Amino acid sequence: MDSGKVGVDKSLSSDLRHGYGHIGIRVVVLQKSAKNLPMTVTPEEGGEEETLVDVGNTPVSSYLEDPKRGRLCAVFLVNGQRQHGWDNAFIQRDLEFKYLRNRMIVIVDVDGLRPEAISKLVQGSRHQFYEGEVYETLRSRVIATLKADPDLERLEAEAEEEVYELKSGDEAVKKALDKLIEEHNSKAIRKTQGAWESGNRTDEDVGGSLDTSREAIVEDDPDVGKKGYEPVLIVIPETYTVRLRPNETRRLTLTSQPVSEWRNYESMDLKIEPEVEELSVIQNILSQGATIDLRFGEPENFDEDEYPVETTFRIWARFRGKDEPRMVERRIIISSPKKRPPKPPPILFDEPTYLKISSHQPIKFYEGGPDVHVKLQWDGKDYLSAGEKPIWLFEAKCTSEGVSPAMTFSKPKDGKMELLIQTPTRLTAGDKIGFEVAAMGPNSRLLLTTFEGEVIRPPEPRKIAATVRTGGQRRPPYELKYIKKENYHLETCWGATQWTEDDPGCFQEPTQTVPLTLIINEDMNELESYRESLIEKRLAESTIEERKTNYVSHIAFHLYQMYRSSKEGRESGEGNGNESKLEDMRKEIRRVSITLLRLMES
Amino acid sequence: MSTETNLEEFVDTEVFLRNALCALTSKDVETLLATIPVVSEQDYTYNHETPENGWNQGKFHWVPVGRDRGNAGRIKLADNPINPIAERLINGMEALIELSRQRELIRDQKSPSPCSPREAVKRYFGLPSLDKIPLGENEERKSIWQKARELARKLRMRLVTNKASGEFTVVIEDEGIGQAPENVHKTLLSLGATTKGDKPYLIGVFGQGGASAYSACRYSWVLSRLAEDLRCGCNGGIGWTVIKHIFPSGRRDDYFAYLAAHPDGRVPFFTEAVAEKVGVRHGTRFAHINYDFGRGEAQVVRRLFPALNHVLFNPIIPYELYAARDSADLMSGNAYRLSNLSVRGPKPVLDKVFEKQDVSGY
Repeated sequence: MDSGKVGVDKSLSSDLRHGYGHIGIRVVVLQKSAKNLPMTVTPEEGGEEETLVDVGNTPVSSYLEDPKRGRLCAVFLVNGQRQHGWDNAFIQRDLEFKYLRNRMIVIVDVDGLRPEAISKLVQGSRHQFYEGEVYETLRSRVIATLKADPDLERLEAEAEEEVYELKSGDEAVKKALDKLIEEHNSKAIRKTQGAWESGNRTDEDVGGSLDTSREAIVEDDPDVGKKGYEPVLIVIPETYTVRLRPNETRRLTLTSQPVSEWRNYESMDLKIEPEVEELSVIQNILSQGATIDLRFGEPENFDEDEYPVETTFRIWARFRGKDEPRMVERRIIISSPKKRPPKPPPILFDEPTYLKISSHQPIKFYEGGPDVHVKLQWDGKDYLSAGEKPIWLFEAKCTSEGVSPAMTFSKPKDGKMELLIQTPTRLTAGDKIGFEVAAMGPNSRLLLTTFEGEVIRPPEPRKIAATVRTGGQRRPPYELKYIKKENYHLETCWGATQWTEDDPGCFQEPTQTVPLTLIINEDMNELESYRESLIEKRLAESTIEERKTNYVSHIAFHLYQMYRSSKEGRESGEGNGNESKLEDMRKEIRRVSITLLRLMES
Repeated sequence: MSTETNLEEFVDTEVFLRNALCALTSKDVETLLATIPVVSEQDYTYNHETPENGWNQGKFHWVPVGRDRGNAGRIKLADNPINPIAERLINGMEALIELSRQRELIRDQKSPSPCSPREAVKRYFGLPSLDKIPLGENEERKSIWQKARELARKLRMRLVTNKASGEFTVVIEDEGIGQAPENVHKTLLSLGATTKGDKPYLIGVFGQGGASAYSACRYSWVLSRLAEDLRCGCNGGIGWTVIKHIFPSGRRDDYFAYLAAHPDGRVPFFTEAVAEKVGVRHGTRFAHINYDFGRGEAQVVRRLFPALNHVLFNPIIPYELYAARDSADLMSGNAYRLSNLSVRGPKPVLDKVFEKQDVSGY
């Protein structure tokens, strides 16, 4: 192993088991939209044009050998020639950056490996490496380098949030529908104390809430509570504090770890403590998690001095087959925006004056975890440490006795770089390790900084005692779906096997895993005619969209009310949802739809 | 004692050379070969121990590539049509480097050899790794790209389509060191007889990667001429031959053979005077005729760019691609294209490099 310093080529023994040399890893994440991809790229000043045909739909398509199969977005190069590659399953499964899989390219340059190691990898066909010992070590190194990369984690979290936003779809309709339901409920009298039913919020004034202390499973440090078992609840982004701006909606994503356990999700309760009247919470259950929209509606004449407003939210969820509920808690800070001028680009010098650690300290090392990325900053220009013979060299060493993790630096960009430390083996939780980083320039110029690392066990499921809300909910969650003509045969409609162009919508009762589903027929005859009439009138797109929102939200609301009424009827023994009832409901929603459209036309 | 079969005895070699340079379909090749005496592969079976046995004086014979009758296993290595082309381009890059290296040695015999192909490219052509070309609109970048363009013109790949015959031809030509006619069979047509083992500045080792192209086409026509200042008494003409896939009648052991002019494996050649007259300079030209891409023209042209840029992801030397048209595209590989996004956008949201990641065994 290395002495702990970097920047100097190592002297390695001839035994390949003790060192294969080094590799260079480059990771590129492209912008999301494929539309941004240039159809033609002019490679050089005044040079010829390279004609690039649009060959696929993802941002990386034009960089892949076979874009249709997402092939070989991770490539291994020997003298610049691809000798091996992985498809995007590597990004999804090994790196766990599912949402970056169509935007990410990994380039591994293996020229720095020892000839013996390259020889063991490269086969006569040059099509792929021999998947033996050297290959496996190489593979582990690539994964360890990239898996905990903070930039990639951030981009993945951002991408995930966006995907969830897309999945929730038609936000305007849902907001309108939620408003209708909330307005209706605020005037309604709660009749019964319900069992747990996931929904918008739990209000004590509707009765039936009973707080009890019981055990729950959380993800926490190993010294908290007792050992627990998966699943645990996680909130994305994974920050403990959620910051809100007044009148701005912040969307969080809730899911289980592992995500696959979400299929056993049963119910959820969310509580804000202390309650903040102006803070609205809207949750939407999806197939792989839930979205939670937080919004602080600033009242008129709200005193600026009241900021920041602080509270917490707790989410409890039940999973089928698990005794204890799962819990996650986050702190919310609402503060008014401080208008900060855009950050000026860093001022960098030919003669740098400082080197500092910008990661939060102490640096955490997880036992057996991937490489640790320590962020560094200096005020030297990038060229000073670039190239084969850089003017300035960076070195890092571990100052704790008996510990010598391998360390390397990423290439500086705008004065920022990262020190990668391979998590030291033979250390246990609680151990502290000291590090020293030096930048060495001409004329014995030296910039020095130090930091401390702490070895900890990774967070795991822990069982803790906590207060559980067991009260009822005002409204159940719902899922809003649309159906088109071509899919009429795929869904049932009020007990019938097929939809018709006369059906405006229907509801499907919730099951153990699927919430109440409200289905709107987009191709209903009268709605189609109404849409055409709006277009003929040359109304603005926004106006057409607004009217569509009104229609859909009202039909959905009516369906929602029909479900509630049907449910209450059943509970009171008035009916069992027989065929004639279903047929009545089918006629009723059609009557409502036509009346609504006529009203909107007038 | 066998003598070398002399092309001049049968054809006007200048006309033959001109036609050979234009031979882009199977029919062209067969028409040209019909003008010279060639012993059928069924009538001459090469034996490594006694190649003279059965040799018909004054005629050309089919001799196994690498003079190894069992060469198919070492030639049929390609799993798709692009890799052999990439291998040929790599050969061309090496030829350009080797030319500079040998010239350097003429100037200074003690000059240490470059430690890697990239170092060689930097030393001889002033080119850094293409993905590390300085960004931004500045003089340094312009100057480097000027060099890159000039260098790329010395290594060309042409895709030619013939609508009448429905054939593709892939021509790869370099202005590198080339080979003297008397050495073509020991170098370009060898298999595993490496001359690169002690040359860390070259890419391949066993000298057989490019041979996989033989199995991807019906005929390969190769021409090579050694650079003038490196001849040292060698033949200054152009060595040439045609390679084809042979399926011996009644046998399962197919092999690849080239047209030889002598039982020791030497290839036919055009004289120096003819080479000068026709204007063939130093370097090597491989025309792989009736190349099997497995798909139609539009798809082939469409796929060629991304596929070549992917296989030669960060080529040590850029090259020109004539994809079924007269104008060239400068091919610099995907690594450069990704770096270039930072200048010409859309800028990647992340472009991060971890250099020198230590790979330790367990």
